[in-house]
Amino acid sequence: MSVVRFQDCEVELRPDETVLSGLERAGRKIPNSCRAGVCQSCLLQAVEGEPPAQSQRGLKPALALQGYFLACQCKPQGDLAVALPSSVIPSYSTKVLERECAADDVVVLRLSVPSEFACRPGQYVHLEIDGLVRSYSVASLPERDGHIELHVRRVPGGRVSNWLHDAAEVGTECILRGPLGSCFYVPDEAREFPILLAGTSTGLAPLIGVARDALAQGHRGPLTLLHGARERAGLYFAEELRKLADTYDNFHYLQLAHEDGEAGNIEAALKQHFRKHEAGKTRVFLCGAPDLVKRMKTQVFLLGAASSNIHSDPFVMAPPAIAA
Amino acid sequence: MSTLFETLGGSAAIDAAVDIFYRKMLADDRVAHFFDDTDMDRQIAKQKAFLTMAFGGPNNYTGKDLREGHRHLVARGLNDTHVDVVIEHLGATLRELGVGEDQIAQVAAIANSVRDDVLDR
Ligand SMILES: Cc1cc2nc3c(=O)[nH]c(=O)nc-3n(C[C@H](O)[C@H](O)[C@H](O)COP(=O)(O)OP(=O)(O)OC[C@H]3O[C@@H](n4cnc5c(N)ncnc54)[C@H](O)[C@@H]3O)c2cc1C
Ligand code: HEM
Ligand code: FES
Repeated sequence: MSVVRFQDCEVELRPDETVLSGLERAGRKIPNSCRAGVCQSCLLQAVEGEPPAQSQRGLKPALALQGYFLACQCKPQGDLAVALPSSVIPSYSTKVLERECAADDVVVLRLSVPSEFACRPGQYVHLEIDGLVRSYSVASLPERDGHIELHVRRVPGGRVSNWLHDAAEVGTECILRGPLGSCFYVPDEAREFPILLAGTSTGLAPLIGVARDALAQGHRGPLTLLHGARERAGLYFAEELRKLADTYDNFHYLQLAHEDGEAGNIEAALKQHFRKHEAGKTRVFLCGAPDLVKRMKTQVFLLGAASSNIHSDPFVMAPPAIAA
Repeated sequence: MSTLFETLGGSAAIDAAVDIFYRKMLADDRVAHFFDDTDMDRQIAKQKAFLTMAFGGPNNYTGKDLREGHRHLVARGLNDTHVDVVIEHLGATLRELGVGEDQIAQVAAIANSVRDDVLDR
């Protein structure tokens, strides 16, 4: 059995146990959120021993080379000595400048931009609230807009999202880390490739971020944004998106409400899109509910999008902790 | 002498082939269900490993790795017909990329040579 050393404690891992679970069993608090290898909030560094490749999946090569790994994915073969990442994901303090109820279950928070902080719209940041870390995607261009815009959906029973809905007020301070993720606009010379953005509920945050960024950078190719929700009332920001569509000829906005039946079918809308635009050249961004993101990913790939042109952020949530 | 992998174009050939090949696999009901519950990005990475191997390129897989890597699929019914399907799509992919028949036959031979490992016999 492998032994994990962290600060002053030593834990012998149980068969099939991850470093994250083992350290938690030993009473250590390691930041974590999705427990599925997506959000990267459980990043640790191996100071002795080799983390398995599986635990370094998705990390930037530079990080992997330095022994960083995801604790929630790490079932080491041998012993490991591990440490919290010191400076790889910089941390900042920020405060709420503005809050807007965009829909019944969506609050939009605009946070101050800490000096030295830079990110691309569509990337995500970690908010740290009472020792809990959660990921939220950036919808604004912080440098241009002067704020970091986050869209938070109220998750029933969710600790951080409910706190952000009910307790965060203008002036509330919190800790922010980041940026992370690679869901953002990268222009090429001509800026003519089609862009397809699709997501549900607050999956809109990174998508509108990418759209705002691409338009600000003078993208000339068609941008299509498909926003889905269970009910029409959940399609927040409709007015702003329509305005964007009026201002930019190449920006198209489609509302897809589940309650509208076939007319609201997001998969049919994806198919429709590729009848009009060449799949092989399209860059695709998919965000929101993990199951849907996974299905859409396979679908757009089968419709001809290149795997290297499909960017996605599934908003993975950790399953409720099992009482020890 | 250059290897088949190099003749085909090295890792650039893998990048060109992987989307075509994996799309064929996912669109084929005979084999698509084996790829159901896995993340696409991870699958693309694994398919690249597979293609590198089939093209005779550098890899560190042993027969034991292939046994272990496919054992959960054998438990789900993986058999000779599925290996045949893989070889069929591999050939069609290479044909689309303009690769000659003799080289396609070499790639099929490499895939065939590990059949027993993949099927854990
Ligand atoms: C890359 C990434 C980007 C993201 N971007 C966004 C974004 O832009 N906007 C956004 O809204 N979200 C986003 N998310 C999701 C977000 O990070 C959080 O996961 C989400 O807000 C839920 O956090 P929470 O603390 O409210 O829920 P948690 O407290 O973590 O609860 C998660 C789930 O467990 C259930 N649960 C919790 N406690 C119990 C209990 N005691 N018994 C039974 N069930 C329980 C909850 O009902 C919920 O379903 C993103 C996630 C990722 C990975
Ligand atoms: C023909 C010979 C074959 C070879 C040489 C081969 C090779 C490989 C290799 C190298 C991997 C990556 C292993 C890893 O890194 O984890 C892999 C994974 C995989 N192979 Fe094959 N393979 C073959 C046949 C097949 C067939 C017939 C199927 C099913 C139709 C199949 C389905 C899969 C799946 C689903 C995975 C991923 C498993 C996982 O996610 O854990 N393979 N294969
Ligand atoms: S990546 Fe480990 S908790 Fe999210």
